[in-house]
Amino acid sequence: MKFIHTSDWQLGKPFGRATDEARAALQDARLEAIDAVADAARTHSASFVLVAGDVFDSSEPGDRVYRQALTRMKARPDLRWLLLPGNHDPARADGLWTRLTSEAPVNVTACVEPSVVEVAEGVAVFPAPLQYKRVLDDPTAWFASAETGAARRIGLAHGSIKEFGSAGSGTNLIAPDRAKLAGLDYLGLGDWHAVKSIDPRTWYSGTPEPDDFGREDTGKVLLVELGSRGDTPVVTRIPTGRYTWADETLHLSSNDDHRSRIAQLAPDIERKNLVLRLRVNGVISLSERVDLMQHLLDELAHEIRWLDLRADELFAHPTDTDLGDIDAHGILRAAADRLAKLSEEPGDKGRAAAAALERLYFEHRRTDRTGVQ
Amino acid sequence: MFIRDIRVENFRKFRDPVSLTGLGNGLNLICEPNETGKSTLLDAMRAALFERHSSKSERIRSFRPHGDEVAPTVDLVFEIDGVSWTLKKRFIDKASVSLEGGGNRFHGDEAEEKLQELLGFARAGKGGADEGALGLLWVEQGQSFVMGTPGQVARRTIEDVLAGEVGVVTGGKRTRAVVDAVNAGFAEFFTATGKPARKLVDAQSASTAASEAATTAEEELQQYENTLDRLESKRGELRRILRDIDDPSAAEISSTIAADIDRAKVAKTQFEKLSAEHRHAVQERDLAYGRLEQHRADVKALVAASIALDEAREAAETQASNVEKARQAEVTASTALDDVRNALAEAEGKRTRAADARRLAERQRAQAAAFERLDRVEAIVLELASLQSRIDAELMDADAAKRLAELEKKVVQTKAAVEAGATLLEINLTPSALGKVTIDGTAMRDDTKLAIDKVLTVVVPGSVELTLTPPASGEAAAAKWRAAEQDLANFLRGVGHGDIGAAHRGARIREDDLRDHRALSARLAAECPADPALGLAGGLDALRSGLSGEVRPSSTVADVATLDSDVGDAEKMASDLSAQHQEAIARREKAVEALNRALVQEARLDGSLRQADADFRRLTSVMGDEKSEDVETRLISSLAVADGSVARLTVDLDRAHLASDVLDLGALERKRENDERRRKQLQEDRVRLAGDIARLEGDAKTQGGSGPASRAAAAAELAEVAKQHLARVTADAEALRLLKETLDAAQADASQKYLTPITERIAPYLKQLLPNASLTFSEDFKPTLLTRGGRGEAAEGLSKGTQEQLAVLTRLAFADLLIAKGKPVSLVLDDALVFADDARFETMTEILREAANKMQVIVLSCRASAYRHVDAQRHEL
Repeated sequence: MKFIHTSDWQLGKPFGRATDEARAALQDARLEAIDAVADAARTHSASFVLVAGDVFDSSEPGDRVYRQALTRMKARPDLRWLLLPGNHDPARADGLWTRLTSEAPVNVTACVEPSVVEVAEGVAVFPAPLQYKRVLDDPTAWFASAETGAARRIGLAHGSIKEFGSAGSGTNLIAPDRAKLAGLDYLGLGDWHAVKSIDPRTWYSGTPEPDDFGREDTGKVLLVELGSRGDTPVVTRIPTGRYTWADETLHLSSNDDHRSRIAQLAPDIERKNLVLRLRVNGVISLSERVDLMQHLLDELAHEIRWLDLRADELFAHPTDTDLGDIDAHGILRAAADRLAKLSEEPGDKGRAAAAALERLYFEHRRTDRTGVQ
Repeated sequence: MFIRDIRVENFRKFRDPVSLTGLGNGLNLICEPNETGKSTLLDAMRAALFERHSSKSERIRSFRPHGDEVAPTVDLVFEIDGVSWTLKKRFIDKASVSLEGGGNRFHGDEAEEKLQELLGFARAGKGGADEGALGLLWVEQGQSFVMGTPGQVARRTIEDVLAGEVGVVTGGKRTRAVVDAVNAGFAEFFTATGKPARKLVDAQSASTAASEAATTAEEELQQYENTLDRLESKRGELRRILRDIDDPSAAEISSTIAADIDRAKVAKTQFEKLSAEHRHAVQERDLAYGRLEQHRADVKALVAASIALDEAREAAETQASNVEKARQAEVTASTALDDVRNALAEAEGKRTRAADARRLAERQRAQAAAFERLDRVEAIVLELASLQSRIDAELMDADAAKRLAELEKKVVQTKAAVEAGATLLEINLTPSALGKVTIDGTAMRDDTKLAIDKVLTVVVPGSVELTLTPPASGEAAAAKWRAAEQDLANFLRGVGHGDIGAAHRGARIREDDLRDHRALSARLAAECPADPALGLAGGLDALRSGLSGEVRPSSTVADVATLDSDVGDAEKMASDLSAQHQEAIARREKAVEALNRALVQEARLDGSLRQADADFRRLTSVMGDEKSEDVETRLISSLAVADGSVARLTVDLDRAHLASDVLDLGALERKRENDERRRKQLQEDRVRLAGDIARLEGDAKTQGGSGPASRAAAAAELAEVAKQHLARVTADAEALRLLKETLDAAQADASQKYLTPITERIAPYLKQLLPNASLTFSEDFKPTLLTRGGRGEAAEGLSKGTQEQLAVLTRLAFADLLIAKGKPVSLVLDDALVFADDARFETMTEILREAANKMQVIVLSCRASAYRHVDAQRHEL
């Protein structure tokens, strides 16, 4: 028997920091992840999908996201979907989940109560829905005491695993040996956005569509195959994500080949599907910085999905050549000299002087380009 | 550059050709009176050099002499860098230009361009040519003292020259482009006054708006959460209410209350019944007690009544004797009173009689007097009658006397009239004639004098008989007199008197009689007064009639005095008896009073006796036949029975009271009402809550559908982004501000450097004019500050004369600078230095003369005398 374990769809995540176009694309990608999950299930003949919490990014994502989600799931009537409220979308009375329970298509079940759901003949799912963003008790505690006649017991929960030996601080903490304690064949967890195995029967599936920088092993769903009772389940990662969220840092110095270093970032990732946070630091010449910034902002930023550039720590040191470029004599040179000196001062003043100098250099460049002599 | 020859034709006031030739290298002086055309000459030079020959502008047309459609023409010969150039320019009509020099010849635009190249000026535009350095140095009339900023081209030329001189490269156009770009960039962030401009304002507004939007979204989320909270709380409430409604223990309480109420009602009825019985028993006991008390009082009263009866009897007997005594006393007093009353009546009679006698005596006396008066009166009456008859007999009454007087007067008057017209006869009698002479027979006894009014016959016996006849003319008067005499005589006859004297006497006697009559009448009235004693009114008739029936009393009338004494005695006796009578009355009244009192007392005592008797009888009957002791015993025993009954019922009542206290019906009913109210309230609450919940569910759905949580999260992120954007924009703005400030400072520094050569060059000139003074220039080469003896003065504040002199010196300094760089230079001053005093003027001309060693200086002036001392080439038009 095969099913898909996924979580943390976080539909309706705003991505406010992204540019307008990138924001729309990233938001759409999350909804499309539902289709990707469904495709994976069909491809691998999985009969149902367990979503281990955080289906929505917030407790009220709005009608558009809500309707899109239901419509996309309804469009796959052969698949049964079990949705679990997580800490992002806790099952508050009269909220999202109450509506969803009454409006969901037949193939979608909202697990808003901690009670057993028989998802297939002889397969009992034990959901541990969250009623609040934070709960202090282990929401899976009831699994052990629940007796069913079913042959298969699958847990579905959302939260962190309680560290062994920890004082038990924190919220939504789940006992690490819950699967064993409750005699579960499999415990599907959500909250962690990357795939993670706690033990052979206890897995975090991660999010099917990445939504943050710098995570490994994400953008996947888990295909779980349960053999005979007592057998270790066979868990397979199925990639579903579209965008790759890379977090890169470039330390630059003068005379590097900056362009080729940038070109080497995130190899093997299609540029259109790359979301890149790029931190550049170091000290380079004024002309290099102006060149580099032009390259990053006028070229790279348009090539990839979204460039989140952090260049605050990339300092321009004006070289004699830079200053000579601006002018050999005259007031431009005099101003450049003053700003260059001023930029050596620490703090905001120096920073402003550096920016002013860069601007002067930039204007000089632009004037040069327009051919004014 | 040297101007050599100028030839002008058809130019303003120069219709005919005018020329100025042979201008030298140094100082050239053209002194001509006003209106000669010096300024026109300068205009013509400018026109030739700087105006396009092909121009048809208003300015160009103004070159033509007024009213003439001719072609203004200027020929100019000048020398630059040792090359002599001949310029011929003709405007408007067949406009042409030719420039010839250094073996070259140029025409038209080519010639114009060559000129620009040679002289370094900009092509003439709409506002005229920017004449470059020459514009600065060719100073027209009235402009010499202007210390303005040189024109664009002149400034650029000077700047270029200066840049070369001080070794600073401005960077030229590129620098300006960069500076302009920076300024343009700056202008996007800040206004000219340093306030935030569009880009910065936009970023600020965007950040504010995003922040507000985030707050709003957060508030909406809170509202949504709040709705859910309220919904949850309402649901909880509803659950509790439903639980309460279905609570079996509540129903149990209700039925317990109902049972308790029933029991309480029974207890209450019991209590009320016992209360009534108890009240009745108490009444019974009180009655028994009352009866016993009554019996005891009756016994006591009977004893008292017996004693009272005896006492009353005794008192009644005593009183009967008292009454009898009083009756005796009353009889005695009555008898005494009767005696006195009789005596008094007798005395009264006596007194009346005495008084009557006295009154009679008085009347008789009065009658006697009245009769005497009547006697006197009757005598007067007779006298009066006699008088009256005499009066009546005499006809000479007052009217007659008056008539007589009138008649006499008439006679006298008529007689006088006769005599006045008559002959007067005067007869004086000799003694012998006495009695002998007669007149009309009457012997004369006296001398007579008379008027002859009738025929008189005077006879003197013995001698003469004279007949005297009055004149006929006096007959009328005489007739009147005779008539008067006749009237008088008639009258006298009428009154019965013989002559006038008798008549007069008669009249007098009659008057006397009238007087006497009046006097007697008065006496008569006095004798007839009213007599009250007899009841007579005043007057004769009253007296007569009053006495007519009476008899004249006899002369023996009783003595009144004696009678008075009798009356007094009788009155005294009556008075004494009257007093005794009063006393007797009083005594009798007292006796009657005493009797009445005794009778009243007797009656009262009789009443008491009867009362006492009745009381005794009544009490005796009340007591009946039963023995008093037996009665008492019986009453005491029945009281004891009643007391026992009360005590028993009191105990029962207390018990019932306790029972009804335990089951307080009022409290129980209130409890039941509360219970019912509570149930009703629960039902109402259930309905209300169901409504609230439905409404809140609607709210939750509507609010939730708009995705408040997502929107809040998105808005918060957008606000953060906008804030970061603002920070970046602000940083950009600050960078631009710093860049602009730095560029401005660099420009100012550069300008200061450029100015050094100018200040250096003007110094020697200034030293001659104003020792120890220095002049400071602004970046655009405008003199700004004159410093003398360490004290600065704004150039605009200097006197016009000094301003003009400084302006000329500044131009000399510029000219020096330009010469040093091989630029074509020529200084022309038209009517300059007009404000200079003699000393300054001399100094200035000396400076000009020195400057002329380096450049050509052309001075146009109307003041030939002022320049007489100056060593210069002089020219005439």
